[in-house]
Amino acid sequence: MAGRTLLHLTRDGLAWHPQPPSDATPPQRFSPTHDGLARFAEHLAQHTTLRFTLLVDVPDEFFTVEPLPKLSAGDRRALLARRRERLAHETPYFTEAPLPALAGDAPADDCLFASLVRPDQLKPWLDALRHANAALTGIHSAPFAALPLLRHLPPPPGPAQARLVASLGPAGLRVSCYTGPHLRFSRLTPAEPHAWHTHVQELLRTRQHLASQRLLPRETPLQLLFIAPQAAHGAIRQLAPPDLDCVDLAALARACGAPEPPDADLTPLLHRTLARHRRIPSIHTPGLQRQHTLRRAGTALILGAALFASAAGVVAYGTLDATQTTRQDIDRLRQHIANAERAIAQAQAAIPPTSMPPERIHAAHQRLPQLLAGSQPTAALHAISRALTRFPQVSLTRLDWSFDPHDTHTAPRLDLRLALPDAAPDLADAFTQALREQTRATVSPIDGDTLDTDAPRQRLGLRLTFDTPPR
Amino acid sequence: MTPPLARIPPPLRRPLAIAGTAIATGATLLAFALHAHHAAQDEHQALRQRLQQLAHNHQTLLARQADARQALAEWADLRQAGLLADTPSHRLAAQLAARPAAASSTALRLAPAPSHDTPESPFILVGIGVQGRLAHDGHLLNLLEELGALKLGLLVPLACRVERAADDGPPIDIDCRFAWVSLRRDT
Repeated sequence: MAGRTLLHLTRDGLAWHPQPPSDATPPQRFSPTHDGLARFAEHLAQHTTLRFTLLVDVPDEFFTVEPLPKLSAGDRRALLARRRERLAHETPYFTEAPLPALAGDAPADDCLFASLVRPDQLKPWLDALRHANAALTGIHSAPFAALPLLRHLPPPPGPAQARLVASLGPAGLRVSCYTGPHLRFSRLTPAEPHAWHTHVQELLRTRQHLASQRLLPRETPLQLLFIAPQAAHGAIRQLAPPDLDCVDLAALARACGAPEPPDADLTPLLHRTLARHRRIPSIHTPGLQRQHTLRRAGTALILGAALFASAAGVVAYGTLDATQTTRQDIDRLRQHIANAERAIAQAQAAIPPTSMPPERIHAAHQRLPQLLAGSQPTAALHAISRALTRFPQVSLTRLDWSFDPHDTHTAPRLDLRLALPDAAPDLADAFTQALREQTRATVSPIDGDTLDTDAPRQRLGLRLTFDTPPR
Repeated sequence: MTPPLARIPPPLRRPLAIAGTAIATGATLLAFALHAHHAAQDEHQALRQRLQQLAHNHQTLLARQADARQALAEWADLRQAGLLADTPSHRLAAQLAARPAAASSTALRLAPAPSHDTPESPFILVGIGVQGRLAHDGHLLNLLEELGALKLGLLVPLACRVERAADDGPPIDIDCRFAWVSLRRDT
């Protein structure tokens, strides 16, 4: 019961058990009087951070088994809600627990309601706790708190697994009827601790009560158990029928991990079960249910906020780490930029100066081949001269050269007027071919003249166009 | 009127305060981290663009370097071709042209000739007309060589008529127009 302080309510008042339990520190007791309640409230005010579990161990508890017809889940819930509402009008404090059908019976859904018939026994203490805004984690009736102890007891006979268990506590003798892991009935009778005869008689009376009230079918085998110190077993067996078994209290305490009680009191074992087990049926208390719900909501809120803060922290850490990496990249980029600026300055300084913009120089240079072609008539004339030398019978009568340096699309042009002898009809053709070879120019007749070799001719006009400079 | 804080159920007050503080702290930390990250990313992006621009500029300058070097090589070609001569006036050109022996010995008439320059042309043309009679066509070639040797530009014949004369004088009749071509230097 890490962090949970046990409050034990009996008819005589409330006991505040220290946490952790200590033999050296006895529980603080508060009487059910005005002064006792005031002291309790004052003690609560001094321990605002504690969480409490309340164990109710009073005789004024009424047990009823409500048989429920076979219904769908929704109808069953609605029926139970109406029965709770009806019960709440009679007493606001009750425990509700399911009761499966006994083995051999026809299948039926039952529900056990354990009601505190004197709510004024509990209400003042609950009011004090609510006023102090104390964290009350659960309110449990003593017979329900004993449920986890059942698995350490000898197994009962028969399919119903019914047992009647007697135990002692500060409030007296409690006799509870269990079928399997479920409580069916319980009764607390004030009694002296060592009045074994009275205890045995009460146990047997309870068995008769169960039969007479038909709380158990007559033929149901019922195991009788008495949880008591080993030293009392002899006295109990002398007073009890043979079918009553004794259970060593100390051994049971060791089995469930509880400290060994100094006397016959089962309460330390109940404290242990409340500390270790969370699914023990609890007493329904509307106001504290809401507080408990709000407290759970508050815990969930804190957990959610902590989760968000953790996630935000993780994301922030990752983001800052990424930012750090980005900053390192930025530093490298700055270095690269500085290097690039230096390289640019060097490249700028390395540009050689030109006498005029380079594009104008390019434009002029682009025209150079044409200009050179047009500037070298000498080579063309020499080439023509070589052609004329091969054909001495051909004489040049006129030569016209034209060239426009401004016209980029027109090559230099040379027009030749030649005189030919009559007796050589293919002479023009041969001379034209020779001229082409010598000058590398495009040779074509001038002004409609033809190179038809069939007719004798005395004159020939040829146009030479130089796309490439002549050799 | 109930104050707003008093409406909060007591079991929820402390958890709300703790949760609020935790959420506010987490949100502040996250906002700070995200802001710093976005700022760093923006700066990184800007620097990357700057670096790209500088790389582009560098490439442009390297291209200008290569272009300038090529222009220098072309300038040498233009110089080699004689196009970088100082452009003379037409009259001066005619006076200079009359000095070579070939011109003076052959009774040729040299006079300035229009060159029909165009302002958009990269070249300036200074024209000279040559008319007369030659005894031998080789004299024309000698004249061309001597005119070219004046280095007033690249000598280009614009139009030339060379014809055998039918009468008794020197046999070759020429009527030519030449031009010295040089690079236009004005902006």
